[in-house]
This record gives sequence, structure tokens and C-alpha cells, in this order.
Amino acid sequence: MTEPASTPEDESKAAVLEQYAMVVAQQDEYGWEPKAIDAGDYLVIFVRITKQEGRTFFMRLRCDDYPEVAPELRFVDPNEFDDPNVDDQPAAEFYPTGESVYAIGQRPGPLPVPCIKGHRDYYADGWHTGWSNPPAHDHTMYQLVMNVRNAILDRWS
Amino acid sequence: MEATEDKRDIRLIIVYGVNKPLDGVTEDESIDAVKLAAMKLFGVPESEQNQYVLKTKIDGKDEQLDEAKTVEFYHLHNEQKVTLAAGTPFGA
Repeated sequence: MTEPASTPEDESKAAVLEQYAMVVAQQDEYGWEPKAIDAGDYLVIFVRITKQEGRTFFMRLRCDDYPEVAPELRFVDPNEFDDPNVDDQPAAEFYPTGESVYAIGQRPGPLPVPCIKGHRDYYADGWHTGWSNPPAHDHTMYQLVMNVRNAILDRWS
Repeated sequence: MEATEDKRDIRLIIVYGVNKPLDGVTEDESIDAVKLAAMKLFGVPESEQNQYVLKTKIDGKDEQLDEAKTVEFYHLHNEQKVTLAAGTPFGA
């Protein structure tokens, strides 16, 4: 009996899970709180990050076609942490503000856009180069989570 | 009588997704040299050295380590966790 061929979706999920496992492995060290949801064809990763004596952020990474395509980064309502859903709607009020976060109107689309490497909008329309398959070390999903966490703690509010 | 220098070797735990030990780090070693060794540990090409920094917790707060300083300067101790992180994650 032959093994069933793995689908592109399976391969994408495996690549995401490899990155997600690294995020999970460091949750005690960095204080982030990750969750993963299987949306059928792809995985959605959620990470809650709380700024000390500040706001709580809840990032959503839609990882369809990862690593062919960078994950889509959105910030959703942190109150949804206990029961996150792939359909949780992002809104500007849930986004961090500060250096390197473009406000609505400064970039295409209806939401703010963090100018930080590793997510889809960063490379969209030739804004920046650097995405490859497989991603370079500093563009991986794990590094994106780390970079967002560091920015929230050091630069954003 | 001449004072003898007692430079101990320590093991740092480099955090980059997973934790890996970096053995044989000397107290007089520069942070820059430690970074290069840490990058090698994870297969990150040396040509990307400008894209990475080392961070560690000092007094409970993340601090980026100055590459011109030494292990001894920061009082890095055996089994201390040091994070290898992207230094310039923001676009122009």
C-alpha cells in the first residue's frame, strides 16, 4: 500500500507548525501566549502579547500558502483570546501605534500597517523585498513574532 | 608574586526558536565574537551578521548587548539565556 501523497496544504501546515513549535517553546521565556487554529486549508496562529503596565495585543497570522507567501498579520480584539476564531475581525483600535506603524491612509487598505519584516503587507506591491521560499532566517514566522513582541515592548504603545 | 588571571569558560544558552548551548565562552570574549558563534550554531550565514543582535535579561528587562563590550562587562554567567534576534526588523 502506498502512502497518500502529501498535498500543498499539508506541506504548508507542516512548515507553519515547525515555526509555531518554536513560538510555543519560548512562551515562558518571552511571555507571549500562542494558539493555533486549523482553518481547513491552512493554519491561523494567534499570539497574545501584553506590554508591561500597558495594553494587550492579540496578533493573528493567517498562514495560507506559507512559506510561498508571507503570513497575513492582523491585530484583533484581545478579549477573544479564550475563544479565538479565524473570522475575528481586525480593527484599527486593536493595533499598536508608534514608530514604523503606518496609520490608515498612509498605506493601501483599511487598516494600519506595521512596517516590520516577515508579514504579507510588508512585501506587498513591491514595498520591500526580501521574501523567499524558504524564508531567510530573519524573515521567518518565528522571527516575526519575536520582532513584533520586541517592538511592542520597546517602541510601540 | 604575580597575580594570575583566572578567566573561566562558561556555557551560554542561545535562544533562537530553540535553545542551544554555546560552550567555551570566555569572560574576555567580545559580544561580537559571541554573536558570530551563536549565528554559526544555528546555521545563520556570517554575511548576515549586521542583521542580528544579542539580547539578554538584565535586572528583569531585555537589554541589547553592545558588541564592542565583553562577556565579563555584562556579568554573563554560566547557563545564562541569550537571545539571538533580528536587529533591524523595520523597513525603510
